[in-house]
Amino acid sequence: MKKIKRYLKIYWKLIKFSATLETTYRMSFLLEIIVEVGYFVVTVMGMKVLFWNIKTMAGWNLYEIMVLYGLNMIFAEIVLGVAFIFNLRGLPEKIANGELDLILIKPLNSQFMVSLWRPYFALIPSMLAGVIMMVFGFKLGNLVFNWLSLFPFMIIFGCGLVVAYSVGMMVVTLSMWLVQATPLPMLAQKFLFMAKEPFSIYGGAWRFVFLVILPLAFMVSFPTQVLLGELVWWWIPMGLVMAVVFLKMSNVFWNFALKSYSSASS
Amino acid sequence: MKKVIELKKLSKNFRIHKREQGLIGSVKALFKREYKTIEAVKKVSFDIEEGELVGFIGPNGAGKTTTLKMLSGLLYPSSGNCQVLGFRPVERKYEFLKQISLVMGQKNQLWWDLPAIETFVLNKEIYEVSDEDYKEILNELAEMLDVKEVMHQQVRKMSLGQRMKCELIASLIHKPKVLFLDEPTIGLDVVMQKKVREFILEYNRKYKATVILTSHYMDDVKEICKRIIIIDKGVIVFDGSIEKLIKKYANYKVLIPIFNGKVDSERLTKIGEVIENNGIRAVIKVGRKEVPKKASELLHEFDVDDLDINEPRLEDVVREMFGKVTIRE
Ligand SMILES: Nc1ncnc2c1ncn2[C@@H]1O[C@H](COP(=O)(O)OP(=O)(O)OP(=O)(O)O)[C@@H](O)[C@H]1O
Ligand SMILES: [Mg+2]
Repeated sequence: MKKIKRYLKIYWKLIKFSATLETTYRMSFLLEIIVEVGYFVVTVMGMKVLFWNIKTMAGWNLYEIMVLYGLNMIFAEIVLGVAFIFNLRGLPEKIANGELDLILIKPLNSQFMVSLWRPYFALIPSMLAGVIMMVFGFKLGNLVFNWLSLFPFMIIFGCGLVVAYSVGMMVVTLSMWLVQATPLPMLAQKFLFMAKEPFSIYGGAWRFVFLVILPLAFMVSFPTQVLLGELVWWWIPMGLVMAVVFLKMSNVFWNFALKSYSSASS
Repeated sequence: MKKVIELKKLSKNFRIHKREQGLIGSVKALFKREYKTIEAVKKVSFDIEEGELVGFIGPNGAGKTTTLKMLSGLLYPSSGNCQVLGFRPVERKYEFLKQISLVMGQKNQLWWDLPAIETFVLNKEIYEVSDEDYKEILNELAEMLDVKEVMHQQVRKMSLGQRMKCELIASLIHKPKVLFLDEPTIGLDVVMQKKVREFILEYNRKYKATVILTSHYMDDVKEICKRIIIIDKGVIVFDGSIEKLIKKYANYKVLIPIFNGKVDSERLTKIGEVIENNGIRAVIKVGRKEVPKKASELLHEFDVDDLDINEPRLEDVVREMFGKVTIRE
């Protein structure tokens, strides 16, 4: 408990630092917004085209898909902003040029440091865009929103975030052994955001893969379904188990990889 | 005295890919990578006691940084053991990391776009320093290094010297018992170098900290370290006091006469090897055993106003050990 408090305190400091720095680079904020508005329009158009002829896709109508895509945007921006853009994306470089030294010397969990050291706030506008898309989906489709669903939603969504981060972390950790590792974080991102489709479109063996091997289902599909009023009993326990298992795996793998860290000759 | 640092046959090998030449070479490398092993540190053993301030020197690529990285838990040793404060560094135990610090002259931990004081505050949290202790130590360190105002400036706007001083403070805010300093004075001007090394000595005395210092500037070592350890090609070649080193490796002394009139170097060669001569003041190398004889010869045959007989300087001895290029002065 004391440990958690200490980490929260440190993380709060880091957030404040990053926020201070971010305001010095206001341009990126503006750019982000412009890119996001563009992306938003394209996504909505794409969905319109998709639903031109058909009424539903794997049992989901246009408005439900809007909620799904909106949540997907929020999900992606959280993972990217918290762990990727300023952190894991730079990890291969930090490993190659020995900057990891300064991290490993600190009496803090090194995985915490390489993953969360600098949050990136310029993605907040994009998250808002995601929220707007979800609200539109609910309103236009006359979908029922039940406040009570927020609680299970939070749990499953949180588990999905942890799983996504852990998978990303494991992929990026491979850079310890690769000489040309800079594309790894991008690869990890691609991997993670495959989770755009509703889980019900997958059949057979894929269901197993996306539930257990690479639990994309927990990332966006299940949480959306919870918001839309559907909750299967095993989602929460299994989500929690998956989150714990994946986080632990990423940690074991990272610690193993550290044995191969050779720093850099200054 | 308590042993704080112990190394037993500590070795580190690096395996690096051989770079193939040309297109054919790189295609070949795709299928079969060739590795080369560099033995950076070879079976190094030594002990350091509590409160010692040891100079760790050697030419470029000798293995100093690699040794310090193993001692601070950044690198896994390839073989052998080391213990610091009773811990195995690679385990990176919380209690261990809280009691040590590693400062590398070429790397900085300060947040570039923020005032240095912000990094200090962050480190205060990371190392769990209490408010009172923090105030006290920060005050002391800032006083000693004379950065009370500067530390409120953005790091990017600091001079190299100011930045190094703030780096030191950031690394010392938790009063580490063991301090590894890897070329902390690199790139600093002579005055700043002196300030920094005096600070290191003061820190060592005040907090009874155990310190290993590497530097290519022999003044750093000469002025503050009683003991030096010399490493070359990964092997320890000397461990002891500076006086002992000079006696052991320099079989000569230097005579420094001041003449009343101009004297040609030509004429002085019969005394010994002339290193320097401006006509009035000369520096002559003379074999240790011949010193009395040569000194009296000098006094008889030349019009000498004053004569000094000195041990050779540390930098000269070290330079001769490693050849001219490797040790900067
Ligand atoms: N990360 C690394 N990967 C491969 N080789 C390395 C690495 N780090 C150091 N070396 C090699 O190990 C040897 C020792 O290097 P080290 O940095 O310990 O020397 P040093 O004594 O600190 O030298 P300097 O005075 O130049 O700082 C060198 O040959 C160096 O090239
Ligand atoms: Mg070095």
